[in-house]
Amino acid sequence: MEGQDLARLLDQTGAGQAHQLLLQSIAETTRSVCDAQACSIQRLDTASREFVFEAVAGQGHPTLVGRRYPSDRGIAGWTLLSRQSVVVDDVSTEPSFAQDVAESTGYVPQSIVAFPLIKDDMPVGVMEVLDADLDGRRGIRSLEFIAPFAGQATIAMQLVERDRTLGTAVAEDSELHELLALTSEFSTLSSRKRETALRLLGLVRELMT
Amino acid sequence: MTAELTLSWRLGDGPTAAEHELAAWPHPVTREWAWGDGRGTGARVCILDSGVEEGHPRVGPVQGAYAVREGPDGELTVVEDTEGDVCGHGTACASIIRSLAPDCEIFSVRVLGLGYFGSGEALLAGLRWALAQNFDVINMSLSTTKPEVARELYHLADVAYFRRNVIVASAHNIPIESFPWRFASVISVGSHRGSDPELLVHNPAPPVEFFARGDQVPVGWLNGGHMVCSGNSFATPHVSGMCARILGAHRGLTPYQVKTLLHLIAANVTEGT
Repeated sequence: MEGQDLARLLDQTGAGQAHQLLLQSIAETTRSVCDAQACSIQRLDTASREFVFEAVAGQGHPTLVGRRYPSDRGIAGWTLLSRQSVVVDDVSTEPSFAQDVAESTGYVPQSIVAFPLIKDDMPVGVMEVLDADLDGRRGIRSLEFIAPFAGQATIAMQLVERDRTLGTAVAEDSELHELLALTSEFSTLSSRKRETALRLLGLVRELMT
Repeated sequence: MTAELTLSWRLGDGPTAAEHELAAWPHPVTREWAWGDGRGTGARVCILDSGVEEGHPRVGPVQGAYAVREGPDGELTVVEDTEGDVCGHGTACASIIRSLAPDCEIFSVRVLGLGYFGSGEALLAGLRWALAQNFDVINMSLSTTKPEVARELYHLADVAYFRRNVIVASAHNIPIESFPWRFASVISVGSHRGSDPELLVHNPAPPVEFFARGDQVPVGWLNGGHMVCSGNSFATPHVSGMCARILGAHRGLTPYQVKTLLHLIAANVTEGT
């Protein structure tokens, strides 16, 4: 492995961007295979009790990304609180619900499929697919078809969350920040300088014990 | 009244409900016999969910509305509630139960709404309270994945079983290990794809024991409205409504007997030759 490659691996910002792209890719893929009008993956911000749009494909992209709304509202709130996936097959019969969805997504769908994203017993977010057209698969059959994508979204969301936690920890801890910078710079050194640096590090370790 | 059991360790202790024992069932058992007039008269059904909208055209009267609240010291208590339904789901469940058992009594306990990290404890508090009220049927279109909550939930499901309180619980549409639907003491429900609200299918390969209508179900929602929804959440109240019919017609049956009747009237269970 080249030093630059190692540096890139150690760069948390880069890893975070890659995982964010993975999340966006899952939203795009889900929307595409479902021939849906939109797919969104929303993170639960437990501190502020809000949902945050992390990835949006189709209607609402890209203006929705980063937008927040209260996590106890609508079908997203219920699906995560109850930990049950649900399909609303026809929103149009319920104007107040449609308005609620419109306020959060900027688009009024006819149908919504919502999955709770839960990892290791922790609620991490919600995936919603709006107006999927699955060759006649509606209701329960649309749930069964989309479920594996929600599984992928759960894993990707966990990676994004881990990146964010790590990034915050590094940003807030000057010692950790310095150590990470040193490690990153070390990986870019020539092999000769790296050997010298390793000898120095060995001396430091002896001093520490 | 607490949600604990008064056990009869010896026959001489006398099970108080012995007088309600049904001596014989007809052969074969028919839906007409199992459901009686199909109105669920006298059966008391409790819905643990997001609340129920009182007076909704598809729900009608709600005999009691309660909510789990957090006190100043963090202790959870169940208090009378006037907020109704916070998201529409409990009303949807109530409308399905009412459509199957129009004369049953409906009670609501809101256990959702305290946030994500108190949800398991709120569920336990609501269920404990419901057991103490001795409801005939408890509808749980929800579940928890928390192991520490599951342990207590297991105990309470057993208490319900021996107290003749039938818990009807939603299975997951997706492979998530959750509770209480996995417990043998409850009636677990998934969805079939049919449109007949009275169609019940028995699953010979549990843990999901029964399938009921959960596909494109017309349901009541907030502000007197209605929607069409799909999911096991909506199949579950169909079975709760059937249990209310059975218990309205045959008071005092045990959950074991109710489950047996459901099995006998399932569409895919036929009489042997």
